[in-house]
Amino acid sequence: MSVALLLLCAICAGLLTGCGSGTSATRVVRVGYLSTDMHQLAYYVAREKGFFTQEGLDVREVGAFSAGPEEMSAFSAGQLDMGYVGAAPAITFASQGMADIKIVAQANTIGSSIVVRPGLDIADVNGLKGRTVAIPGVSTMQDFILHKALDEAGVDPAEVNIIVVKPPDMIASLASGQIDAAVVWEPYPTMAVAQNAGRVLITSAKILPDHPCCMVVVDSKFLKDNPDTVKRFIAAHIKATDYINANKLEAADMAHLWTGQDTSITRVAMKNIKYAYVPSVKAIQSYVDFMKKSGVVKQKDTAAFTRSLVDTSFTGGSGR
Amino acid sequence: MAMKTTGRALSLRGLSKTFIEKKTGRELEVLDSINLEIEPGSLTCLVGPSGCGKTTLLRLIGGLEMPTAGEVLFEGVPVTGPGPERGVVFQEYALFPWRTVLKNVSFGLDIVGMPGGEARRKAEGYLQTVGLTGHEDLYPRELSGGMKQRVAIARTLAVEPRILLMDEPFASLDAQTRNGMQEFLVEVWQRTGTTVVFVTHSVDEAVFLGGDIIGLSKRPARVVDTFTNSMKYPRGRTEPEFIALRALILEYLTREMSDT
Amino acid sequence: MSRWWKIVPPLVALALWELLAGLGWLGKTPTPVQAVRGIYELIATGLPPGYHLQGHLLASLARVFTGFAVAFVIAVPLGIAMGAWPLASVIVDPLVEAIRPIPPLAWAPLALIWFGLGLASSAFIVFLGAFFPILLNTVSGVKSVDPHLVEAARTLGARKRTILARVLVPGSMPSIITGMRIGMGIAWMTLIAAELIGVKNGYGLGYMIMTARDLARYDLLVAGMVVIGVVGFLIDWLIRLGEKRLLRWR
Repeated sequence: MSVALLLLCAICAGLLTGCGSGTSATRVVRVGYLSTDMHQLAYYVAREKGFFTQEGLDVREVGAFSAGPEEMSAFSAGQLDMGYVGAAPAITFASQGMADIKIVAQANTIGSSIVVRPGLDIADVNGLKGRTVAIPGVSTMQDFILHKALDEAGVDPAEVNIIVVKPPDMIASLASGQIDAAVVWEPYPTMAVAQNAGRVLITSAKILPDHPCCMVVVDSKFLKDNPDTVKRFIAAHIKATDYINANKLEAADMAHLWTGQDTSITRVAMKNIKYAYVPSVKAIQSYVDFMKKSGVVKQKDTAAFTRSLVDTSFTGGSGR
Repeated sequence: MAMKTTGRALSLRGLSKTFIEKKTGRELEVLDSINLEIEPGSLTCLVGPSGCGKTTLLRLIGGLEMPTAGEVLFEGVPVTGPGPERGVVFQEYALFPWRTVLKNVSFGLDIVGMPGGEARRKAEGYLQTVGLTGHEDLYPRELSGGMKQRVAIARTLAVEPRILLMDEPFASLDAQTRNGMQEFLVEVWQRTGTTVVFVTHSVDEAVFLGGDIIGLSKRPARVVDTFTNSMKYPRGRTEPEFIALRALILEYLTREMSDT
Repeated sequence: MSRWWKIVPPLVALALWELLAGLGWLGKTPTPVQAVRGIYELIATGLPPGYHLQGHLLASLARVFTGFAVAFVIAVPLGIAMGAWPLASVIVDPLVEAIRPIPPLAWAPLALIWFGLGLASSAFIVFLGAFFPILLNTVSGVKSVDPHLVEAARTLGARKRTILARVLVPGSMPSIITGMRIGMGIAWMTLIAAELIGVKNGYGLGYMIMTARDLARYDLLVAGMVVIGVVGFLIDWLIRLGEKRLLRWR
């Protein structure tokens, strides 16, 4: 009994000093990420290159998730402090009050494409009229991209059969002609091309330059209690992002190791992904506006909601 | 030889049966060179120590088993399988639980394509014979053991067999019902004139029913003795003649069972 | 003890759920009241908006009944053959035993290649879920038919085909119906999972709850779960009703 008490006291003391004292002690961060998502390569690079450790962080992987909504549920359950996740689930869960989080950095921008099935002879987005187009989910970034593209081409979305298909199944569906086109993130477009299951009609960079994609988010309470830890985490993230941009070939090899995709895929796919860490409030808000239009976001003042959601102070951004 | 058999309902010639146990591969000799002649219209009982092979003998006649040696001749023709001319009544009733009483009785008629109305009328007639009029629409589970066996007998009679093979049909009935069913069987036999071969382990039952009572040895079964019972029907179980024959048969049975 | 006692445990569970969720002890779990309101929203507004619950329900039912019907039509005759003829069993058994342990959903990517995204694909996965319970119960049903009944039929003049049709089939009916009930339950569960992959026409209960998940609408998610549970229960209830009618002799 008394031994246990003593032990408990010792642990408490240790924790207290750990939190109180400065740089020497390690800080625990419970993180989640999407498994094998090339957009989140910075996380893998920071981990493998020891950037987190250099910042005195003890990064503990709570989960490698297969989909964003599950990762956001883990935030909701209080099991994650920080995470790499897509903009769509992050904003959706925040808007519904299902998770109390802040976006503190960008993981990447652009990196999606509209892919059309082999044999579909169309030159531009206009040709999608009357076709079946797959998106990964309702009001996802890809849904937004598609609507934007159709809008610019002057095509009424009602004239396009938009359906939801999970990305891994999109390639088979394209190959068998079940769908005419798919809007999906890398490396799926590159994979589709490599497997002769489709060709890229247009990249998202051309539709929505620098549109946000994957984000680094933090639990609001964790941010309030441990701003310094978050700062260190983002510092490591920035270092990793810079490293990727300075060493593309090596980064592609690392992406191969992480996702299991062949380097021939990762090298091509990386050309379509922009690794950038400063979140753009303006770009995010235009996406939030789209989500509001489709009824997913209920907040009246989207500008205020976006401002409350995005914290650019860690990336030195100004919120362009 | 063929001339000699024409008058017989049933001839068993050197009938032997050996089973091979599936698990051990051991041979089990059940019947050993049985010779037997059965007259048309007779009511013959087969008795013997339990497990001696009485049931196997009946199944060979029914064509449900094939002999290892020897042959079964029914009206001079070798038996190669079951057939409606040789009706079998099982100890377990073997009624089709999903068919009503009436539909059980008409089974043999339905499967040869007899028109529904005719089959129904005929089945109703046999149900009347066995005293079950008014129970046509019941299912077997709603019947007592005695009633089930009456249905089974009516079902067998309905296909008008020329011989009725009965395998301890009353063994699982209570004593009172059993006595009633025995009287009932004698009545049906007298009315239809069908040849009956009746297997039982009850000496009392054999003496009450049998014109000829065949005594079998313990396994492998051989014919040990044939007792002739010339008492008039209906037989009184307390008559001296009944008691004397019963004692005689019991004596043989006791001898058979103690013998090693 | 009258029958109304039976509804007490579910009511207590509901009240407990309402209380705990209302107090926030279950995290962000919606309360039963929110779930019921969610059902209303699914009917009135739809999810995604315009895609109403009725459409989702019909699409799922069409898929489940197609897959189930194909499973039934193949599994029952095959099961009877396997039960009646040892040779059929010897030939088919190894194949059945090899395929049976594979979860139906594992076939999803292949189903996509073979049948595409439409009805056939999800019906195929449903078929796989329903097929084996029906098959195995049919086989065991035929094998469990009292051999005396077969012998009785033979002595009454029945040939092989008659025995099959008039003895083995009706005799194995209770077991076949049990197989149908289990098969339908698995079919329904499998379907919901199969629809999570994606559907071509935008309708399906599994697709609907996946959308609810993606949109963080957990009230609609739970509402969808309730609908799935109730429909599954009703289907089973219908089969049991049919069973009572068909097996009055039991």
